[in-house]
Amino acid sequence: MGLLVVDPGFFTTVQDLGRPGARAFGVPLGGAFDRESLTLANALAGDEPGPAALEMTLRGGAFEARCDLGIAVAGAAVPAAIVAEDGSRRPVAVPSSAWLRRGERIELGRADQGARTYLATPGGFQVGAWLGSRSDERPVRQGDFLPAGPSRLPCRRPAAVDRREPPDALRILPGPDWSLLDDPDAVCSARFRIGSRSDRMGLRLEGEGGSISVATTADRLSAPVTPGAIQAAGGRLIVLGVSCGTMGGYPHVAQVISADLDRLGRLRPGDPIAFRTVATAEARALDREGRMRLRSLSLRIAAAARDGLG
Amino acid sequence: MTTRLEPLGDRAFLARFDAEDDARRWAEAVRARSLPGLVDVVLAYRSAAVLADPDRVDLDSLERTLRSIEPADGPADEPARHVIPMLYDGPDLGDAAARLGLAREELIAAHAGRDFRVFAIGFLPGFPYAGYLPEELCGLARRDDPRSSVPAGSVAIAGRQTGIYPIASPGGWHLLGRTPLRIADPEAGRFPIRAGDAIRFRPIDRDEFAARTDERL
Repeated sequence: MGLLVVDPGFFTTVQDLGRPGARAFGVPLGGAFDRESLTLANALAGDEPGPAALEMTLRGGAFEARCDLGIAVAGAAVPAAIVAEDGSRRPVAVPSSAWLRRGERIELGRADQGARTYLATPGGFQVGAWLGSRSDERPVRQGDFLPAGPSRLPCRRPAAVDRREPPDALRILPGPDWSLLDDPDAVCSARFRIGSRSDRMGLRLEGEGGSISVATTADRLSAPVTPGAIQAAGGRLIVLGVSCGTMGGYPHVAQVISADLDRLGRLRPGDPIAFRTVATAEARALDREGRMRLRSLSLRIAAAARDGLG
Repeated sequence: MTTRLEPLGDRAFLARFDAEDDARRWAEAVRARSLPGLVDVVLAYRSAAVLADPDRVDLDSLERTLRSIEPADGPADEPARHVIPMLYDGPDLGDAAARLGLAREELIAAHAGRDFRVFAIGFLPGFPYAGYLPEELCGLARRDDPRSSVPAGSVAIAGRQTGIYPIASPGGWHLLGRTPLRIADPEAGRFPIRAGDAIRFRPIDRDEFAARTDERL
């Protein structure tokens, strides 16, 4: 019982909240790149944050239910529909929940904006776990089977998902090597675009006017890094993604604040970005606010999803 | 000596030291305190990062606590030491020896004859970065053409360091040989080698390699 991958889309992986607490052993965090959207999909499926969902990048795909299966989608808006065995189609909004009868498919198209759409099911997809997580960096392929228990969900759009419109700039804190920047102001005054060779490991930025140079330090020793670290390498900046390695060798000039980390997962090649520094105290306050808001949203929506089943 | 501590983003701190051993002892001292809300203490060379869960600890008070900890508070005992049996039959052994101007036997004696400190774990889950190599083994840059797959257990050198591939992976270091042991089981969360530990390679023959294949370290 579960979901059959008919068309894997462009790059679709199974993700949950990853493997926190094992960086000392070289284990990346991993998990959903846009954790707020995963949490929303989980909540629409009646779950607390965390059960494994599909993370679809830029384009959805097609998935066939091999049993009655509740599904919930959230994240980047894509055109989506449930296709019945007789070929009739029922549109599915993002975000919303719905359910597939055995034999029905959900088809999801391309995102015009944003990068990642999540498809969750109650209890999550039961693919293999290690170190407490089912997160896998390898994309699913046509013919893969994603086990999941049978379930149903009410067809429901969440009332007013309060996704606060973020400021234009990504907010950053100076990193350990900020002082190595030849011109720190350039990081915030320059405009960048997301380069095409960007993935879950990191976003490579292309500068528009001028490169970012750092004082060269011969034989720099690698140091610990976490998702959101901004490294300067060869005049370019790289923003490390959710599945980045645990150590970095390039100068670590800045760090994206925790409250803005999910925004990294919503950026797509070509998107413009800029940076703005904030104080550590402000970053922590924004982090706290964001976590509280997401927690209450998750509780409210998950409760509604469970109530909807009567 | 004071601990140079700075924020690493808004949920972590980075401590930097002048010597690898100070970083190790500080990281051990932090771990020994079992502070609530710590997610990770990551040691790498002369620095250590402390990642915290802001739901479980006040970061300002954690910062004060971390500042008050010094390397000298760390355990005085020697770090754990792992002896790694190793068959020196790697595909790059002859080439590495030639480029370093050594006979194979000299290279093996220099690599196997001493303890190395594990400075960090990374690149792959459970991959130990260890060193520093003696002068005569230093200076080989990474291969120009990294291998697309290096077998699990491969022992390799590059620059001033030596490492062990815990799982098959692409790799650009020079392969000197293989250990028959499983030095980590990431899927089971078993990582016997930790940053700060010491490792030493012991040359073995093909029979011992065969007899101990897949044994756990």
